[in-house]
Amino acid sequence: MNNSDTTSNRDTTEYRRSNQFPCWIWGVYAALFVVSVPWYIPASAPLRIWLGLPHWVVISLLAYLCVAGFTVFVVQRLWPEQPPPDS
Amino acid sequence: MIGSFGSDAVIAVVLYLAAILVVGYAARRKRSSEDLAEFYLAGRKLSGPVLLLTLYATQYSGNTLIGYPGEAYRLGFSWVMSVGFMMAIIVAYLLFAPRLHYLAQRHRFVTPGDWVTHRFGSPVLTLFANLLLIAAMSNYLLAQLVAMGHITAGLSGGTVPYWVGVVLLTLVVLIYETIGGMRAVAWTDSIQGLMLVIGLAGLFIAVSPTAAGLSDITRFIADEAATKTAVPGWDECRNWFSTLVLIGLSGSVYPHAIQRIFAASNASALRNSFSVMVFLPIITTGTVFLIGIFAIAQFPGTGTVEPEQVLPLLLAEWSSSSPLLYALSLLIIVAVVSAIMSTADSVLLSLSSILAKDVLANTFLRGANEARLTRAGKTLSWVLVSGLVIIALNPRLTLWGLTELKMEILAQVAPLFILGVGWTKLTTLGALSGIVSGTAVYATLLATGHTEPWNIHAGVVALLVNLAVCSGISQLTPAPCSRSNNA
Repeated sequence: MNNSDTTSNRDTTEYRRSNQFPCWIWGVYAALFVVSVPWYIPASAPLRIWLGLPHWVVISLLAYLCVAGFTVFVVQRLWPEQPPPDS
Repeated sequence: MIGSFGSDAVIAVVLYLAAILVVGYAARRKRSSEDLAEFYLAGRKLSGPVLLLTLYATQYSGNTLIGYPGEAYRLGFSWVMSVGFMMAIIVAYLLFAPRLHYLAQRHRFVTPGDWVTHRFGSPVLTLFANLLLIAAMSNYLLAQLVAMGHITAGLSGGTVPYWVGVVLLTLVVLIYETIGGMRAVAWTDSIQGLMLVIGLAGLFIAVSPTAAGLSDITRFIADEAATKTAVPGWDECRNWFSTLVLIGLSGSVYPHAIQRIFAASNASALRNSFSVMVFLPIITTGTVFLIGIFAIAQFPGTGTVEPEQVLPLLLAEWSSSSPLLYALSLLIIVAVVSAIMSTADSVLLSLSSILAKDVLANTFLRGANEARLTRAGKTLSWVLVSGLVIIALNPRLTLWGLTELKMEILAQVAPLFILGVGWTKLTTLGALSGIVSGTAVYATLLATGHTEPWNIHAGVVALLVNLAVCSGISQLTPAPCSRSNNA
């Protein structure tokens, strides 16, 4: 098991050094998902309609649209570079 | 269920079945050898568009199309969370997929167990993880078989009996999967994925009211059932957060989804798939959510309509208003059947690979060559499905309710992938203690009837224990790899 651990962790460590998303993206994701859940709006708030939907639903959908757009940015611009598989 | 479509729906489904059998045969001709990676991972050559559509089709089962509108009808606007939790799966992939894909290509992983063995080197941990995966996936597969029976009986208005639906659709899945392996599954998934996107996007455009019309519907719902438009209280919000975590993490470690990451031809294919896939919840669950909302206005009053009947009833109603809507509704009906089949085929293939590569290759067929293991895996698929069909044929033993449990079981396996890939300090003892503790806590909560303590899923509570034990034990036990870490 020691050998296996050593080998696998060498791979992982080597991979981590050059192949990692920056940590700040997880903070952005956490913030967007936290905003998507309307815990900060009083449950007794009167019905307000935006674009035909309750306003808190529109806020949720906007947060999810931001998650999608941000993911495209992360995946296309920040995807970790990888060495060739056989290196 | 969809009597107004009559024989058209049955003919459309039969044509679809014939088409996917042809696709299965074409995939067989494309296969170059009988080795495990060729059969179970399509030779690791899934390109961007096919990878995207197979990941998409695999993630959205028949339950998404039949069950989710019912949930929106029952809960109201708070079901908008379904868009979020399907998106959370893609975000969760980013935690480990890029690295895992790289390592899978480098070390030729075929099953999720290959990664666990490679990373932790513990047969006990691999066995425990595989047992959880097999339990969750068998249950999931059984639910798809039951759904096949219900959908066939419903489509034909009872003319085609439930048991014929289970046996016939299962047989078709087994045939194309046995002859074509992952390539056949991915290609048929692509057809299904396209049907789903076109059908739902078309339906969305065709039936969406203007903002003013939607406002009227919202006001009507607020008058009829104020709780369905009200801002969710803190209790519901906790459940919303819990669902985001549970579905996001569990959905990303479906064994068949992980095998698609292994099967991606290169990182670029994976990257492009994720870039598109992250928007698909808006088209898919977003449309399905709106259908459920329309149903509240269409069928006001609680208990008027069974939740599972919401989509079929609305389709039947819309289809009579124009030929375009009739065609789109027919497309959705076939998409429902194919969504069930595409989930069943992916789960079955994954189960077969785990049993052949992780179980048989380490026990009865130790030392056997890959062609023999592939053949054994195919045979096991038939044996496994035969057993599940027998259970599915007795409706009293259906396990629909248990499908939810699979997510909570899978959540306990998630740290092996997410922490295992990203956190070098995670030790084998830490991972094993975590998964055992998490599973024990979940089983205890379930057995004592605490399925949602404090409105948080029992699986999420168990996952928190799992993570705490994982990290605690890993910090306390010396990392066996410190030498190599510093090298």
